[in-house]
Amino acid sequence: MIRMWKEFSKGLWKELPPFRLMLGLCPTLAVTASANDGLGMGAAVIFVLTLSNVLISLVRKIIPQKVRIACYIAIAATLVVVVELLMQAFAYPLYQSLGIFVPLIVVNCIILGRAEAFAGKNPVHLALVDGLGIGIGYMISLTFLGSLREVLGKGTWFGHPVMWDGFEPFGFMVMAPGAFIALGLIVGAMNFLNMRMAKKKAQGALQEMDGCAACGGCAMATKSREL
Amino acid sequence: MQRFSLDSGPGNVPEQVPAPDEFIVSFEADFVACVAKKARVEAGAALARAQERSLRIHAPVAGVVTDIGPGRICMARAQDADDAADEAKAPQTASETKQALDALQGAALAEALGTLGVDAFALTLPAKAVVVNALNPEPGMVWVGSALNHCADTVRAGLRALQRLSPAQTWYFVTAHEAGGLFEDESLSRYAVVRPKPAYPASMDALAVKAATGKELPEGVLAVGLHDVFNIGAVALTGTPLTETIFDVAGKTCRAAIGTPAAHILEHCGLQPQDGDIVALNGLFRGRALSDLRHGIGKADISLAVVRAGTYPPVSDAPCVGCGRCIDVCPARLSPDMISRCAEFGLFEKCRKSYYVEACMECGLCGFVCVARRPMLQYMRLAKQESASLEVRS
Amino acid sequence: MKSGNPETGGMVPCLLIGESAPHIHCGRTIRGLMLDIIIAMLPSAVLAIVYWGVDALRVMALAVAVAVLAEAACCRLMGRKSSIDDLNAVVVGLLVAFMLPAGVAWWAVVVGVGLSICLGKMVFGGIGANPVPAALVGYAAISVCWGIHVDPDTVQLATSWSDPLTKLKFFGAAGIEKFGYADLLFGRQIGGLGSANVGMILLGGLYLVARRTVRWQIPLAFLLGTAVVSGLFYMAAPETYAPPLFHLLTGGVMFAAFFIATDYACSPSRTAAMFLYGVLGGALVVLIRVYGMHVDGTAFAVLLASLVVPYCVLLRPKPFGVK
Repeated sequence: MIRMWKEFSKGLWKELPPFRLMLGLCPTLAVTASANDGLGMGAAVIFVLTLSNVLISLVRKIIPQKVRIACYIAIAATLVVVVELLMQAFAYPLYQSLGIFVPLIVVNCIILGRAEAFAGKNPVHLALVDGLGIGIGYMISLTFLGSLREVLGKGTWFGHPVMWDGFEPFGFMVMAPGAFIALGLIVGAMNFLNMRMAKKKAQGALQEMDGCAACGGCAMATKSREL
Repeated sequence: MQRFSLDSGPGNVPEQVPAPDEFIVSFEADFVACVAKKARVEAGAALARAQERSLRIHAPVAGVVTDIGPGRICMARAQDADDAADEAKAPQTASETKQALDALQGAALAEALGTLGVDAFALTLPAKAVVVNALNPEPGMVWVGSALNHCADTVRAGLRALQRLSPAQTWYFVTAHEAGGLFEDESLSRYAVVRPKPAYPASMDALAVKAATGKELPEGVLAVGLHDVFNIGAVALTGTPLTETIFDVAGKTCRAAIGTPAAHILEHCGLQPQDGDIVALNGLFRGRALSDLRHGIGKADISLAVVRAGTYPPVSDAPCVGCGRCIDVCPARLSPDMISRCAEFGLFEKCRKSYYVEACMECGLCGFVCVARRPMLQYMRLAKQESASLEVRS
Repeated sequence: MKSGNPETGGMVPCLLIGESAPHIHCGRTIRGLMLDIIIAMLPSAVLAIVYWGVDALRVMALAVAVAVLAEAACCRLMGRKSSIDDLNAVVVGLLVAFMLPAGVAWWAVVVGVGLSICLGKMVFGGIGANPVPAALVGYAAISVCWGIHVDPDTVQLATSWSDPLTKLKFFGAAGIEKFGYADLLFGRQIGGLGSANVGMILLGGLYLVARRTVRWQIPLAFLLGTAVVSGLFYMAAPETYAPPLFHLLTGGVMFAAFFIATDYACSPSRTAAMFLYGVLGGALVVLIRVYGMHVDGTAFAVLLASLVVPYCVLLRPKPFGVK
């Protein structure tokens, strides 16, 4: 049970796909021009990722090692087609704004990455929560980035105007340069926060020790090695 | 980017620095002392010898050994009348030694010179050409002019001895001064005088060789500094062990006994260092800053200078701005900015492979022009040392 | 580091500095270089105030203030010693101000200068680390974001002068006939408050070259690149394209040549590389003006050329003694 929670929660902060694992950056940059699109894309990825993890975990003992990537892609592709059809049927405006990036979920590094790194080696229940965790983490990241870009770039949030009357939107935030800059700044901020947290943790642990300066340097050194 | 002149004019007759009361004679790690503490030594007696070679270092005056430390012997000058007796004995042995030296060649001559305190062993190595670098090593130095004009006999004796030491076929004499009078002698006719533009860093050995031979770092060419030639000449001319040397302080050439403390020399020349000053030994561009004024002047020391506190902006650990001035002045055509950045971050392999740091001549011009006041020469030396040791390990 | 044994000659013990060679310095510091650049920008600044009055002064003062504050704040956040003493923040602020029209809104100046300092310089590690000229980062961001609030044509309305480059783009070569070269030289055109005063910028630039603060190769190569490429266009079709001198005296070309492209951190330092970089930048200016949607593409041309610099610097001689 605890193991399941651990696998689930790592996708929510420690292993956020676009900001920590640096996976799935292409759709992250492309579809986050608005929060709504980000949310929709995230939902699609949750669906595909969770089910693909489950299916791959179910057949992991049967797939021969040599052709495993091809099998993963086949499974992912099937699920993506299902998502596409569902989106076309029930959320057509979203399908239109996401455009080519829905079918591109097949080659999203997250799907293949989790399949290879986790689902192919772990039992079904763990693969399920891993997929859910990473997927929800991805959705949160995309929605956050999308909100940031939409609020600064258009002055609205999920379509509702939220800035003051005379606000002139930062035009380039909804264009490509803004995407890169916003992503870079968010990753930078996350690294900074992690270093701070590591330092505090090190300080807390070392306070019991005598004669140590508790500068957090050893924690930071470990962190930088990890990164 | 100023151009510094290395032409110091004819210079003054070397001024004798009066003997101090205490001498501090220093030597390399492979030397062993041949006297005991509190022993009485005569002028010219051997104080220490090298273990592998016949090289010795001698007492500059008669006196008593006061302290023996690692690489250093301190002695106090004797005040008594035995000096006269010692000096009477000296000329006889000296002329015998001189005649013996005149007859020797090659390795035997180097051995004999070693016993008299001059290290000439490197000069006997096989070589095709010898380039005597008779340019003032740094702008502001004047002793080359003095040596060539006022101690011409010594220089000639040194050049003659050099011809007998080295098996080379071609001989060059690179100078900025009028050295015409020097080569009137038939025995020195093999020397070709080369006169490059006397602007620093032309006095770097590698550049002097290039001026003479036209090639960069050619094989089989030996570069010898004029100071070494002068020391050889002093010994060959008098037949006595090397106990004095010439160098310059504050724009004039001085002659002092080896082991004279820097404090004594500076006081004699009227330069009192104060808090925050820098006392530079062997040049402002390339020399080292003395931390202790009890440093005794050595055989190879050529210059002493005092830089007053606050003359120049202080060195700092600033990042490189990328202005490119160091690239403009580097005589080795390197990129000192990139080497210093790599050295700063520990990328020593890159310094060697991509930026060829081993070609650095250590002229110090990069540090001179750096607007960020980075310790450029120190970075270059660090990079050279670290990348060389990496090379050895790999 | 005590010294001076009282027994040897009675020297007073003193504290000597034991630093590494060299113990001599040319005397030029970063602060000195930045002061030179500020002095070089003064004639143009004065002329800007003469033409546009308090507005110009307001923009320049605000830009400098924001730049210094932003840099101080960034240094604080980064936990390092404040670097505003070397006056580089002042210079970056002034450079951004020079490219903006005098009537620009205060918030555009604040955001532009803030982005220049924070994203253009500090995020890379401070002075000497930026891959593209810092001033251009902020200027490009705000001119793309808020085109109509930053473009001189839409902001400087209370004047009888016009923008020669807009006239060229929309009316062809016929539209620029009424611009005399004297007018352009003295800044009687709509453009950035400082960069439009081409004559004064040239004067300042020549001062910098004479003082060896910037290297002559980059401005020469930049102007050469602009002149040659625009000359080629002009020779091909004189009725459609403007003469080379026109291109040199309008927009930000002269300003970029002496002040922006010569930014130390992102320009090369060897002659061959400098020429390549300058010519590339100049050529790109003309290409963007002719084929691009921007009226004056100088900012983007220099940004693009700077990105190629790491390849330009591969043009270097073999070091001493290396075969």
